[in-house]
Amino acid sequence: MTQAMEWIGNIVIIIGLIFMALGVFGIFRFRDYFSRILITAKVDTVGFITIMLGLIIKHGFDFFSGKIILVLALYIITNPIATHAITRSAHISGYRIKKER
Amino acid sequence: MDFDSIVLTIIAGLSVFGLVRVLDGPTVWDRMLGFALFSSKVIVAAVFIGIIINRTYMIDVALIYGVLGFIGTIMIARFVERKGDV
Amino acid sequence: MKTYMNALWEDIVDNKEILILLSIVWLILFEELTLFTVVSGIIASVVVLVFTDRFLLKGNYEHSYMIGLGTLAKYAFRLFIEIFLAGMDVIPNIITGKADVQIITCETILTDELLIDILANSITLTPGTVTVEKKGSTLQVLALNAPAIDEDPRAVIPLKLEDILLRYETSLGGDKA
Repeated sequence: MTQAMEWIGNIVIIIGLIFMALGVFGIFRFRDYFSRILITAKVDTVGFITIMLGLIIKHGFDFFSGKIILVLALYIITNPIATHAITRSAHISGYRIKKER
Repeated sequence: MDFDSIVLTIIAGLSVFGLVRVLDGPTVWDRMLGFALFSSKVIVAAVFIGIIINRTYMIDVALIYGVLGFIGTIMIARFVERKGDV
Repeated sequence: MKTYMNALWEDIVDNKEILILLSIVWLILFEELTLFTVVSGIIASVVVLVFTDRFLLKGNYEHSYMIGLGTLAKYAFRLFIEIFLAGMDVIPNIITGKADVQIITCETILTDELLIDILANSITLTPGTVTVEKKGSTLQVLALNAPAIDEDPRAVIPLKLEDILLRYETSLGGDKA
């Protein structure tokens, strides 16, 4: 049973790594800032959440998983605020795209 | 070399690319984006180091690095937004 | 003195879910489950709660900050599913390198400030959409693969999440009336 849980955790961690690698790939793929932040940073967040979920599955229910849940909760609360602050700073400072409605 | 060490190596390699974006970015917001990417990689790497050496205090390090990265990003964004007046 | 103790007790009963959350965080940080950690955790969370309530907050925010543990768990579960679905949607754009970025103005049905903030942060957390500005219940959303001009601009909001928050808001209004 524990062997099976460990394999499931490993597979979930590998999926998360693929998401993270896609995010880093996308940061060099696009030419302008808004498409970069839209795709890259957020896919990176998906990878983070997936890797943490995989670690929780792998370790089972103990204090170690509790601490990982604390890290995850902190990241989920603070990450959108940081992204919002960067994007709003760019918007206010006059970085524009062609279309707006 | 077990599974966790391989994952840690891959994450360290990915974080280098985030730093390349910080050095290379054409605008200042690209640099901030690269910094946010790098700090999330550092959090994951700290948790994996804690698993490999089998100590739980490394997760506290990850928590504190998360708070510091958040405050750094917010402060730089405010600094740029108000054109030098924090 | 007696009225002060009564007010203290009412605060504790009003915020019992926040007390439970804070005590669990204290236990996880200590990594052991003994009588000493439980008692000290409850005392510390009561002190933190009363200090924040009496000295740091100027107004009376208690009733707008009580989301409730059940609603929070349901919301977090739904949020994970939305994030994964949106992440799957974005992958073809990364591989082909095509991006059609627009800023869209749309309105939510919610009226409570805290709930609008939670919804805006959830929009930012899902891949493909980032909230740029919020004024009242009008949001400016930076969206990839935006809906066309003749379609409803509200399609950028994850509607299931708004539904959960809306149900909570109506229950809140029912309590006040």
